[in-house]
This record gives sequence, C-alpha cells and structure tokens, in this order.
Amino acid sequence: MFLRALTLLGLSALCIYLFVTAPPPLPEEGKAGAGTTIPMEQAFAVLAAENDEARRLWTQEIVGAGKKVGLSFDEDWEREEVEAGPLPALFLKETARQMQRMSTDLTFFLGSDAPIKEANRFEGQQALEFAEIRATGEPQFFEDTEHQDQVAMFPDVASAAACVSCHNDHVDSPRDDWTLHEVMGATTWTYPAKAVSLEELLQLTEIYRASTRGAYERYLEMAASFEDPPVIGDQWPRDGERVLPSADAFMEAVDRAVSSATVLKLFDLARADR
Amino acid sequence: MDQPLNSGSSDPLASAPLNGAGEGVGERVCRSQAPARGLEGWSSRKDRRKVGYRIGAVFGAVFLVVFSWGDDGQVLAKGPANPGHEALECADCHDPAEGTVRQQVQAAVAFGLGLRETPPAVGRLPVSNRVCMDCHERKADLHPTHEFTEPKYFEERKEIAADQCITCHKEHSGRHVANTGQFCSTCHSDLGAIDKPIQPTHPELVAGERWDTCMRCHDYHGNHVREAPRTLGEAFDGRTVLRHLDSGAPLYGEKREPASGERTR
Ligand code: HEC
Ligand code: HEC
Ligand code: HEC
Ligand code: HEC
Ligand code: HEC
Ligand code: HEC
Repeated sequence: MFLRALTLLGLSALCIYLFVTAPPPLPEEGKAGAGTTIPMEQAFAVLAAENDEARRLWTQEIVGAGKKVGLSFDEDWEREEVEAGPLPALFLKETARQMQRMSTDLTFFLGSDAPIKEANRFEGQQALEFAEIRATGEPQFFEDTEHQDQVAMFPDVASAAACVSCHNDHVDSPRDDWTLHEVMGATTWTYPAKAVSLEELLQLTEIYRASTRGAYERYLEMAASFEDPPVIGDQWPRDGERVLPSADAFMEAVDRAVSSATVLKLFDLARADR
Repeated sequence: MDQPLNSGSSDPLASAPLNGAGEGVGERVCRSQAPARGLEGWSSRKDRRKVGYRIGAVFGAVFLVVFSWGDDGQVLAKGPANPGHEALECADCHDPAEGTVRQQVQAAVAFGLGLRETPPAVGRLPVSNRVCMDCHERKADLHPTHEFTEPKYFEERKEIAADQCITCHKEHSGRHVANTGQFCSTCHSDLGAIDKPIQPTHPELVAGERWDTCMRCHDYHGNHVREAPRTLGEAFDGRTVLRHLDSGAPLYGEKREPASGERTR
C-alpha cells in the first residue's frame, strides 16, 4: 500500500515536472511567433532590394568613382602585397562571408550561366531556375529539399556601364557581348523557414546590413594600411579627391536609399496579413 | 586529456534523436525532418509503439545528458582531444543550450508526443562551424565552408560534406584530419583547363587518378605562407602527408592567420 502511494506520488511529481508549463515552453527555431507572418518569398524580396542598393553604391560610388581618383580594385585584393579593394562580385562574397559569422542561417551567393570564374557557374536546379529568369526576367522561388531550405533567385542586372565593359574585356569571360541592363547572373538566397514574423524579418535585415558594414569596414582597414592611404571621412570619391566615406557615411547612404522602400514594403506586408 | 572512463560503450548518445544532427556527414546542425503531428493521430498499435520508442529514446538521452556533464566534464568526453586542442576547456566548444533543463526536458517530451515539430537541444548545443571559426577565422580560406552550402553542391555534399568543419576534423578522435586527403576528386575531376607548368601536368594527374598527390603540393585552406612546388620531386612525399593528416605534425610552414586561443565572438 505504502509502496503504491509512493509510486503514485512519484508519478504525479514527474507529470508536474514534465507537463505543467510553469516555465514558458521553449520557442522553436524557424517557427514564426504570433502576429504578422511573412512568406519567405516576400522576406527575400526585401533583403534582395537592400542588396541591390548596396551593390549599386559599391559599384558606382566606390569602384567606378574611386578608379577615377586613383584607387584600385582587383581580383587579388585579399593578398597583402596588393593595394586594392574588392571587385563588385568579391564585395558581395565578402558580405556573404561576414554574414555566416553571425548567428543566422541566412545565406546568399552570386552566380551566372556565363561566368568569369568557373566556380560561379549555376548547376542542377539553380541552372534550371536561372533559365527561367533569363526567359522572364522574374525572380524564382523553390525548395531545397535536402536542407529544407527556402530558396530564392533574383536577377543581377548590368546596372552600370562598368559591369559590361569589365566583363566583356576580361580574359576569362566566356562572353564579350554583354549589354547594359542585361541580366548577367543571379543572387541565390536560402533560409530554413517557409515564413518569418515581422520581427524576424527586421532582424534579418539588420544582419544583412551589419554584414555589408563588416565588408566595408574590412576594406577601410586595408585601405588604411596602403602605402599612401586615402583620407577616410565624410567625402566621397565623386567629390574628386582620393578619399573614402567612413563606414557610417557609407551605411547612411545605403539606409537613405533603401529604408523608405523597405518600410513601405513592411507596411504592405503587415496590411496584407490582416 | 585522458581516455574517458566509459569510452568502451562507443557513443552513448549516438542513437538519440536530440540534435537532429546524428552522425550523417551531409546533415546541417539544427535541422529536423520530423513531421508535424497532433496527438489524435496515434491510433494503431505500430504508432503507439513508435511513441513508446520516441519517449524512451528521449528519456534515455535526457538522462544521459543531464546527469553526465559534471563540472569537470570528463565523464562523457568521447575520446582524446585533437592535436592543438589539448589545452581547451569543454566549454570552449560546447555552448549550453537555450532554456533551463526543465524547459528543455518538457520540450523534448512534447517532441516525443508529437506536440512539437523540432527536437530541442538538451544540455549542450551541437558544435557548429561558427564555434570553430570563432577561433579559426581565416578570411581568405580557399575552401570556405559556407560556399559549399549553396544548393548546387548537392551531389558533392553527399560524397564529402565540405560545408561542415567536423566532416574532416572529427573532434575527440586524436587526429588532425579524419581522412586521407584524397577527397579533392569530388570537385576537381575536371582540371583539364589548368595549364600550370607543373610536372606531371594536372590533366595527367587526373587521368591517372593520382588523388594521393594533391596534398603533397597543396594545403586545403591555403592558410600557409608558401608556393606550391612545380615537380613531384620537390613535393613532400606521400607518407609525410599521411603522417601530418594523422598527428598534425607541422608540415606546410608558417601560417597566414594563426588560431586564437579564445572565442572572438
Ligand atoms: C572591374 C571589373 C568588374 C566590374 C566593374 C564588374 N565585375 Fe562582375 N565580376 C568580375 C570578376 C573578375 C568576377 C569573378 C569574381 C570571382 O572571383 O568570383 C565577376 C563576377 C561576376 C558575377 C558572377 C559570375 C561570374 O562572372 O563569375 C556576376 C553575376 C557579375 N560579376 C555581375 C556584375 C555586375 C552586374 C556588375 C555591375 C554592377 C559587375 N559584375 C561589375 C569583374 C567585374
Ligand atoms: C575543439 C572543440 C571541442 C572541445 C574542446 C570539446 N569538444 Fe566535445 N565535441 C566536439 C565536437 C565537434 C563534437 C561532435 C558532436 C557534434 O556534432 O556536435 C563533440 C562531441 C562530444 C560529445 C558527444 C555528444 C554529442 O553531442 O555528439 C560529448 C559527450 C563531448 N563532446 C564531451 C566533451 C567534453 C566532456 C569535453 C571536455 C573534456 C569536450 N567535449 C571538449 C567539440 C569539442
Ligand atoms: C577556443 C578556441 C578554439 C576553438 C573553439 C576551436 N579551436 Fe581549433 N585550435 C585552437 C588552438 C589554440 C589551436 C592550436 C594552435 C594552432 O595549431 O594553430 C587549434 C588547433 C586546431 C587544428 C590543428 C591546427 C594545426 O595546424 O595542427 C585544427 C584542425 C583545428 N584546431 C580545428 C578546429 C575545429 C574543426 C574546431 C570546431 C569543432 C575548432 N578547431 C575549435 C583553438 C580553438
Ligand atoms: C573537406 C575537408 C575539410 C573541411 C570541411 C575543413 N577542413 Fe580544415 N583541414 C583539412 C585538411 C585536409 C587540412 C590539412 C591541410 C591544411 O593545413 O590546409 C586542414 C587543416 C586545418 C587547420 C590547420 C591549418 C590552418 O589553416 O591553420 C585548421 C586550423 C583547420 N583545418 C580548421 C578547419 C575549420 C575551422 C573548418 C571549418 C570552418 C575546417 N577546417 C573545415 C580539411 C578540411
Ligand atoms: C567541395 C568541393 C571541393 C573540394 C572537395 C576541394 N575543392 Fe579545391 N576548390 C573548389 C572550388 C569551388 C574552388 C574554386 C574557388 C574559387 O575559384 O573561388 C577550388 C579551388 C582550389 C584551388 C585553387 C585556389 C586558387 O584560386 O588559387 C586549389 C589549389 C584547390 N582547390 C585544391 C584542392 C585540393 C588539393 C583539394 C583536396 C585536398 C580540394 N581542392 C578539394 C572546390 C573543392
Ligand atoms: C607537383 C605539385 C602539384 C601537384 C601534385 C598538384 N598541383 Fe595543383 N597546382 C600546382 C601549382 C604549382 C599550381 C599553380 C600555383 C598557383 O598558381 O598558385 C597549381 C594550381 C592548382 C589549381 C588552381 C588552378 C587555377 O586555375 O588557378 C587547382 C584547382 C589545383 N592545382 C588542384 C590540384 C589537384 C586537385 C591536385 C591533385 C590531383 C593537384 N593540384 C596536384 C602544383 C601541384
């Protein structure tokens, strides 16, 4: 009898320990909480728009204008003896590298069907989806079943004359007939959830921006060690001097260009959910 | 570091579904394939038995994890530290999982009953690439893990999951690299276009399937201050390379970016 009572008591204690949720239940990773949920497709679109702007700014204002005032940009920018910054594609790669050092499963890549660098060639599912982008000019979405990732691909367009001339002239480029505004490749984005909350999307945007900042800061660090370092401050190369904007100034310019579009998009998403 | 007391029982946690990470080289940490399922679905006997197994497994694992990580942490260490890691603390790599033990246990039970889609981490988090890179940040890694997470490397990952440090650096194994360094074949079987002036040439090496030669001239991460030699005669001999992969005995020379003894993030 006593033994039975003890067992019963033990069991109920166990049940309380196991089921009574005095401590709040652990949140599940990749599951959107209550409130507005945003399909990953739309979240990717917000991030890709941010990326387009950072990429445009880097290509035009730093690489394009920088070359005119005597700054160099090179494929081998990471080597110590080379006094140069990263080419547009490599700035993007550095941004992706910065991103995977942060606590997120968000990743992105740049590729093409006619790449300068063979390792950037699309294969498999990505090649099929990219053919669709070529045909329609529209972004594509699919699922990577191995990782249970959502995947988005956004066209990467020749937005500046420099994109076209550099690729057409490059010895390793399989094509020499790129034209302005043509789709030259695509960015591929992956994330392991079908939807995110508004808050999570804001976090992802923050992570993306911090990664861009990290990439830019790394360039500034290298520039500061050049034999004849450019002045770093509020001025831009377009002002005609061999100068570079500080990380704050660079990020402010990104913010200014994309924030209103991003905020409008977030409002739209919040409204659509109601 | 000493062999742990109970290392005879190979891996006490290997069968636990806890981290969803299993032993599979191709899997990324923190992912689970568990389908969502409510309680009402458990009708047949087979289903009930399955619940039984799940609960059993969850309980077993919870018990092991909760009660085996003593302060000295030695009880369950899987094997000798890898070369270079002898002086590290367990907590340098094993971060505590989110929540209190009770929250974790409740979440594990909820998963066992199908009330939760993903199994929680109980006790410690799986050791991710990020942990390693907190001490081994190589900005110019020739083969950075994150590049191989791209969907297009699906087939390659099945052969060698180059997106995970622990594919090649199995911790608690006492070895530097857990393979013979011939996995280059997975991604470099098409070296025809390379016309570097080496003897024998790259296309000849590939045609002869001489995958044992690559690491005699190249390091994998490109983290050493050196140039690849031009002939096999100037290269390291095969046995020296194998010894390096096993014991980590210095081989390729001075490092560009040395390890930090402390996590930087
Ligand atoms: C000064 C030269 C230069 C400029 C300007 C330039 N690129 Fe590139 N681009 C390269 C090089 C070199 C690579 C290969 C980088 C690598 O190592 O991955 C590349 C890579 C790419 C890739 C990946 C596929 C491939 O070819 O390897 C795309 C897509 C791309 N660039 C598009 C653009 C666009 C769009 C612009 C303008 C916004 C641009 N590029 C500007 C030189 C340039
Ligand atoms: C250099 C990093 C590192 C250090 C230091 C380290 N471990 Fe590990 N440990 C790992 C990795 C990597 C695994 C592989 C399991 C995984 O995939 O998470 C692992 C696995 C384990 C496992 C098996 C459980 C599991 O999750 O698979 C136990 C138990 C363990 N370690 C205990 C210890 C103890 C005790 C110490 C201190 C003596 C220690 N470890 C120190 C990296 C480390
Ligand atoms: C707390 C910092 C720290 C963490 C975390 C860490 N390591 Fe290390 N690691 C070191 C130190 C320090 C050395 C010894 C110094 C050296 O050899 O460069 C080392 C050495 C190594 C070596 C051998 C280097 C050589 O030249 O022989 C490898 C391989 C390695 N670590 C891989 C990893 C992997 C994989 C992980 C993640 C599972 C990891 N490390 C986590 C600090 C760390
Ligand atoms: C596909 C196999 C593979 C993967 C994945 C891999 N490594 Fe290595 N690693 C090697 C080989 C082979 C060597 C020996 C040759 C060399 O030194 O590059 C090595 C050497 C090392 C060394 C010693 C040389 C150095 O760079 O200091 C460290 C440290 C190291 N790896 C850390 C890591 C970390 C951290 C990761 C994950 C971010 C990782 N490795 C992923 C195969 C791999
Ligand atoms: C999972 C696929 C994969 C594996 C496995 C792999 N590589 Fe690579 N390797 C690549 C890719 C992709 C590149 C091109 C990187 C780039 O161009 O940015 C590369 C580039 C290289 C380079 C040229 C780096 C340069 O640009 O100077 C060398 C050398 C190299 N690998 C050697 C090896 C050796 C040796 C092994 C085996 C020990 C190996 N790789 C295993 C994918 C792989
Ligand atoms: C006798 C020494 C030697 C051997 C053996 C060797 N390589 Fe190389 N490899 C070189 C040299 C030298 C270069 C050019 C070095 C450079 O540019 O950094 C090179 C370049 C490369 C490149 C880069 C090519 C490019 O386009 O930049 C890759 C990839 C590569 N090797 C892979 C391999 C693989 C895989 C193997 C094994 C089958 C191998 N190598 C065997 C010496 C060797």
